Amino acid sequence: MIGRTVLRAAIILAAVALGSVLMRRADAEFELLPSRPSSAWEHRYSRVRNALPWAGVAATLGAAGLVAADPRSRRRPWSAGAITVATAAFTAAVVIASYILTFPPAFRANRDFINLGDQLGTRVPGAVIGVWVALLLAPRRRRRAPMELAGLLVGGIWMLDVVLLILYGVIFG
Amino acid sequence: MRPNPYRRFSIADAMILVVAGAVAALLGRSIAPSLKEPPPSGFAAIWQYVGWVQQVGTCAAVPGMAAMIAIRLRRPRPSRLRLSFQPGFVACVAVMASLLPGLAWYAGIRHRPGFQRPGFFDQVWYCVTEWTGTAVLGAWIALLLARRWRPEPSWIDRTGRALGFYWIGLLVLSYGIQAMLELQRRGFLH
Repeated sequence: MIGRTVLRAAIILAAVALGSVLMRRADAEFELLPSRPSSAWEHRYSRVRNALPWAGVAATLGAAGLVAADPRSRRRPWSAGAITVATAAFTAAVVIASYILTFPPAFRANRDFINLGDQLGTRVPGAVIGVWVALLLAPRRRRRAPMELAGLLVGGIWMLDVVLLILYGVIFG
Repeated sequence: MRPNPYRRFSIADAMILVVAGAVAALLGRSIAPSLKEPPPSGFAAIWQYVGWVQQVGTCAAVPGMAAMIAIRLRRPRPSRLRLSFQPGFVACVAVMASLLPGLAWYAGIRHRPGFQRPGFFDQVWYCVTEWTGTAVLGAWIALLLARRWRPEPSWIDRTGRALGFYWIGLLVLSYGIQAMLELQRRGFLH
């Protein structure tokens, strides 16, 4: 029991550390961009939206680690949280792989994290919307609350990007 | 002889599809000014044709999927639980839900100066339909992982599935074209 708790804590700490590194890297690339948004608020907004997909990647990896470490989470049929995490992880993996394999190098110099963040910020929230629609149409019996919470957190971080996009008109309109 | 348990195509279904067709034509007309003439040959022409399929196709697919939801919900219909297991219906609902963020974004910014000029509709439409492909993918992965993939052998669910595959096909096509462009750049394609 203690071993499992330590393992969970280690996975969460690793995800937080990874998220911090990825977000700093994305932020550093953003600061190198020649064109800057006009106002200070718009600049802050763009910085947050630029770093957010990388928080999503770290949260997804952490939650996927928690699912993999917990044998109860893998019991079929999967819980709603595990399904959300698995779908987000699959979509993110496809986007990253296709970017590495196909994106023209001319557009990649010092912009990998920005370009990839853009693509992740579009593709993965779409998949989360789809998963939540499918799960909401026929609600499942809730079980294994920590895993449900992890799924909700992962989906929520990805959807935050969509919420910020919608709020753009409200904030800067 | 056992009666067919699935609903046949009726006049009311045709009327719903006619309305969807009218909306599709309206959207297509708004997109039409931005469609450019393709170059006579070569890779750029293929790219242009793919753009046509994407832009005009999405204008037809979105109203079509809304129509399929309306047709599916007409009586006699399966129970709510059975409906939620049908991949065609789930794909249609997922596409409609995925349009909401884009429409909300557009509602927030449409009063800005640049967003009223003619020919801007295609860019707005591209943003509105940005989440749809992966929404279908996500909904179908969720059905498969939850062991709820129960397609119905009827024209309604088949049409919904075909429209769902259209969106996934667009996703695959966009990555495929990107890969081909990269191969062309490296000199493997001419």
